[in-house]
Amino acid sequence: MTAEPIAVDDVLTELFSDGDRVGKLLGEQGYLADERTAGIVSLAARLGKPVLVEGPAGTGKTQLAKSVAAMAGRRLVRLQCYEGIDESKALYEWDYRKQLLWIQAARDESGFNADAIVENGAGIFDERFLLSRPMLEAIRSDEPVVLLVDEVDRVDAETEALFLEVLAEHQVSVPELGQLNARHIPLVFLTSNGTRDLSEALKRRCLFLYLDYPTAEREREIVRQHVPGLTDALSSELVALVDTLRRMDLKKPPSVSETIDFAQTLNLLGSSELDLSTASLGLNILLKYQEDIRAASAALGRRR
Amino acid sequence: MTAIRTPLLERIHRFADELRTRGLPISMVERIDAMRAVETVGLNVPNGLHLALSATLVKAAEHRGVFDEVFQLYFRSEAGAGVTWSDLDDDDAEDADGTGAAGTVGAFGLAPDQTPLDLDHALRTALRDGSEVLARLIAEQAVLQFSRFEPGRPVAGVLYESRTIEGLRLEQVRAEIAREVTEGSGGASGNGAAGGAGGGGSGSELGLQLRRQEVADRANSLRQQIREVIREQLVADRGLDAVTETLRTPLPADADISMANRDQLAEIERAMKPLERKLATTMMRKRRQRNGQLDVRATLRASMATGGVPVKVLHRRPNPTKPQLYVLADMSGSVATFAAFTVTLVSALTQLFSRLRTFAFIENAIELTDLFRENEDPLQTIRAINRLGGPSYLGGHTDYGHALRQFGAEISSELGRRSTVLIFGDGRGNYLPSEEATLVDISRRAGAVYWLNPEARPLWGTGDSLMHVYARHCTEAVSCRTLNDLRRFIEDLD
Repeated sequence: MTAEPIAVDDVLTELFSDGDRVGKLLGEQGYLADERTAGIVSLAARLGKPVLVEGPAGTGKTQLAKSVAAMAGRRLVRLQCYEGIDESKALYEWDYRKQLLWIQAARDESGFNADAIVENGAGIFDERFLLSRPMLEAIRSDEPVVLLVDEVDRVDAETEALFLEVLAEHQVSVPELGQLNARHIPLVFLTSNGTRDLSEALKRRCLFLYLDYPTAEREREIVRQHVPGLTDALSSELVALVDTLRRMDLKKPPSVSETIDFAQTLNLLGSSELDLSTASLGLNILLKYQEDIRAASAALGRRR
Repeated sequence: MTAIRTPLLERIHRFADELRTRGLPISMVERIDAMRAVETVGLNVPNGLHLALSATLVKAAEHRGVFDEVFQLYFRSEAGAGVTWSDLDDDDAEDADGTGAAGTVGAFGLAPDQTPLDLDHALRTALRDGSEVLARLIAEQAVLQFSRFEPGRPVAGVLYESRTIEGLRLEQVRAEIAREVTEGSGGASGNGAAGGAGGGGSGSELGLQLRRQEVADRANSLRQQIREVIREQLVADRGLDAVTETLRTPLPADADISMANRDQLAEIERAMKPLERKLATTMMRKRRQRNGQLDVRATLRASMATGGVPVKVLHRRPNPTKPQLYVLADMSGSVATFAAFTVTLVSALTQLFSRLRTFAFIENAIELTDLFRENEDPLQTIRAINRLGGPSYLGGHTDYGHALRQFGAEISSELGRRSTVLIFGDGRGNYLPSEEATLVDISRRAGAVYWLNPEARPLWGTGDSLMHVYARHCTEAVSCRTLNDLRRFIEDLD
């Protein structure tokens, strides 16, 4: 059984034909991608390769997959990884309750042959009894989908190896059934926070995208988009403050979503400028640890 | 798709070779992917080449720095010197070697008849308004004027860089502009310009501070530009291969920990995160029981294959046994940088192991377990150690024998098969007695004793080093100079 490579479909090729276009379309979905991100998404779609997205928390790694799904009009299939996840949660599982029921029901019928079941599992190993988990679902779905494997660095190295077949060959081998080939090649995004070195084998199969905190200019745009009421001057100051905080050695630097939270607060308060009192309010929104808040306010106060 | 022509193809191959030489894991698969990606992206997309190559050849965040540096050398330096990489893709392009080609073109993009800028004025404008183009022009002219470039010398250009920065009076001008911006006197002048948005007109303290930060950023980016111009000139002068050779900065994982500067240490620390976890899991895996609890769910599921008869009994994975860990760390001046690394590693271990006791010593071994527990951040830990009185608290002269005896007295009654002892230090004992017997005793009681030494193995036993004596009694004594050494040590534990 050889896996026939499936041609990446035309709609997709058209949609992702170049980086600029992807960037614009993602923008329409409310995701402001930089040139590089858009370029890599376009490249991945055209090469049919998964994208491994790494970067600090809160830079929009998961959101990128969601927005790409929305932009392409595809369903998002999400696999949330955690320590201890195994193939029965990620790939497939036999629905043994159904199998039991089937055996019980079939026992009374005339053609029932218990020996055949013992010998080759006749009847009970059938796709009817196969529960698709996200990875199998992504390649067996009737319409093409976007597969998001979230926080892949949390799975054990052994489980990671199970993903390789799906990522590279777009197939799943079920010992009792043989090989299940993809109906469509999904667009795959894997996200990682870099807590563990992923295996070379996995990395080799992916394109690598590092999503860092946005540049000040792009972050201003993001703020403008989410909180249109804020004056440009204020959003500039806000973004510059966040930028300064990110350069400090903090336990949890502010992420983009926290910038937006702060912008919304300022908008509600009707502030017109960022003085030290609103800034210290901001620290409480932007930072999550008391130590960080203390360190940041000390640093901001000192340099006055 | 555009087919890539041979010169560019070869250049990409040589580029990949260079990345491999520097330690990036690049296999045949990555090369093929890189070619396909370049073809797919096409050559007329701005930054397309960088995009295609970086997405396929770089697979770890900490490798990006090296990638960009080499990319600049291979695909940009010559662009600055008049050759662009799309020329390489022309039919009649010169040999892909590049060495000959670049040399013949003028050293700079700056044509000789171009009117020179008033550097001081231009610099002030650039720092106020932040124009990238202007910064590049300043960099080019400043290097020409101040670097006193000596053709043919095999250098990395650090001297040229400092001469240029000095000649430009970059530091002084930056400080002046920062003051000017802060005092707000002429502050409005730089306002409203493209991207220059420290804060529209607000005179608040915070706004001023942010604007100062902006000026500092622009100065840094100018510095970067100057470095790039110098590299371009070096390539034009001595050819790509020679310059690549001189400039070969190691990956964070290969950098010598004891010699690392602050930036490198920060990078090393970042690259260390996954290793810490690995060390922890490896240690937990060391002793594993055969079987854990019965897994009813899995057994039932497996029994379906045998018609409901549980032929195969499955067990849960056993809980790993928690090891007891004892750490003894040398904090003396001779291993100062290494000590910072030790503190980082021990901090991480403290978070991961509940049964861990840490001792630090110079002359006296003192238990610092609680201090490590209270301060999650390694930097705070170092500060806390210094607050304790640092060196004077731990004693003045390194005395391994004395410290080992104190360490042994504290822990030897607790040691058992499950305990692991980790010792960090160079084993240089100022010609004082080694107290070998104590280590023998510790080693006999504990399950394992590991010694991580920042010195290279050939130096062990030279001068006042007692390492050759101690090494005999350790389960394993390794020279740990780089992160990769640490990684190998951890992998060998398996």
